[in-house]
Amino acid sequence: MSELRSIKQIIPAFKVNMGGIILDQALPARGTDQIDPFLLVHHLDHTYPAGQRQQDVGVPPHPHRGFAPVSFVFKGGVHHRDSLGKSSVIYGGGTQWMHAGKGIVHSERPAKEVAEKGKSWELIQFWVNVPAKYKFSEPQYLPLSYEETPVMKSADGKVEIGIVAGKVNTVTGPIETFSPILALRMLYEKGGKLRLPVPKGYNAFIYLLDGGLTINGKQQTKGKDLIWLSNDGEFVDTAALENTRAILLAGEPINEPVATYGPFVMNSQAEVLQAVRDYQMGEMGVLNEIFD
Amino acid sequence: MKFLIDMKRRSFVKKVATGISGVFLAPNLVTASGLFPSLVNSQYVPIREGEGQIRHGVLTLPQAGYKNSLISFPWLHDVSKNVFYKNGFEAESSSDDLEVFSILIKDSESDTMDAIQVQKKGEEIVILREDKSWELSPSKKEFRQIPGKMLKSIKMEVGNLSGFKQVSRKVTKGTQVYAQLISGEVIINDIKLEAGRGLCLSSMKSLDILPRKKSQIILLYHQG
Repeated sequence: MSELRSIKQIIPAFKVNMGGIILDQALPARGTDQIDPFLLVHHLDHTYPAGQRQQDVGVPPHPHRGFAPVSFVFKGGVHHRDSLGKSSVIYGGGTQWMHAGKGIVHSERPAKEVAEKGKSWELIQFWVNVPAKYKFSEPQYLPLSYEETPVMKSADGKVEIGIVAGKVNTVTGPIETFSPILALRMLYEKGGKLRLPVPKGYNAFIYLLDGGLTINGKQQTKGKDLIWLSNDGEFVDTAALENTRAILLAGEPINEPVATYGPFVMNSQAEVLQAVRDYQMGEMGVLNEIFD
Repeated sequence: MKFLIDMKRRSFVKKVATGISGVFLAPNLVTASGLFPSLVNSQYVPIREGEGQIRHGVLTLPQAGYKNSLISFPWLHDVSKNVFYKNGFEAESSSDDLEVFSILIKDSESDTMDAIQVQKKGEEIVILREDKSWELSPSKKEFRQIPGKMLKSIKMEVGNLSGFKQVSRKVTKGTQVYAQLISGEVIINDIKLEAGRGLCLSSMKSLDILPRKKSQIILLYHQG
């Protein structure tokens, strides 16, 4: 096995109308339903006009079961409320990692000041599948602010790496996952160089929010590209053509059947139907939002 | 804004439906003519239809404890429909997208509720009642009983209808029947029923169902 992972495919994100919100979807893509265990990558960059009420914007209460929806917040703040009684706002640089487990109801709205004063709201949401034996675990909400995220610098000092989950050198991310995951946030200055470790056997990709990176000294990539890496090495070399924000997601594949409909990710359609029923019977909890 | 619009829409629907249901609660005029021996009380039931289910969408589904005031039967609390898009963001094809009817029922004696789910994908039908699932094959000319362990006062049947062949059931006194089509069109006791809404029937001695095209039907019987 060579040291560097080659590029399997570059997938440009495409615009999707998600219930009136236009966002960029990098995964699923045409011909690619998932990069096991990652099922979805959505990039939302939106500026709210001023004078809105928080309760009128964002995504109202909805359920999830069977996977982890995760938000990396880049601009503004995301206010999470859920049926467990949790309520917290995470701002740029922070992460909201939620294990839906057997079921949870939550809402995701821009922070109050974002809605009222008219500010930018930028986040990436990705969905991480969990093995069948953990799909009915107790739900958990794990907020992580920028200050709580361990950060490293590249050798040339021009790249900042936030370690959210998994291990880089001796630094371990605070988020514990049900299967091995490496989740990194990278901030490149122009000219910055970074060799990223990618554990053997993990499926992995890099997604660029903006800017441009040269991969392995050869391939140039641009903002909103998802660079899917082959499983043929343990590192990937990156160099910033300009100031660039990017994420790296890598995970041990689960290799189980996937049935994903609406807000549920299970192993069969029968289980999705069961999830609908359980939600209707109140078994995923109830969220009554309280606004200031 | 969406919440305010939904509230206004709900209020409008409630006012219109209250007016319409007043007409339909009257005995069926055809049977009252004396041509048929029994008078049938009937009421169309609007099926609440949610927006297509996307990945970040709000699941439009009332939870146990909710009672739709437009439905006159006390044991039938709500009927809703949701379409789950296979690609997660828009309608693709009827064979890949998942259509789910959710029927909230309650047994007042035991104070027990259930949310029956009827799933349609292409022509395949799957019913989930309590914790057991049942399949209805589109190719078989069959009616299936769908038993419940907890809500025994409510019997359920689902079936395929075709070829203008009438299906009849004797109905004991005091039985209330809810009929809903998954697909097709039928005449039930001289009342036309199409997919998209349900039908509450009472005060009849028999249930006579004549399909006008290939149809799949759900029947719920509650013995009073």
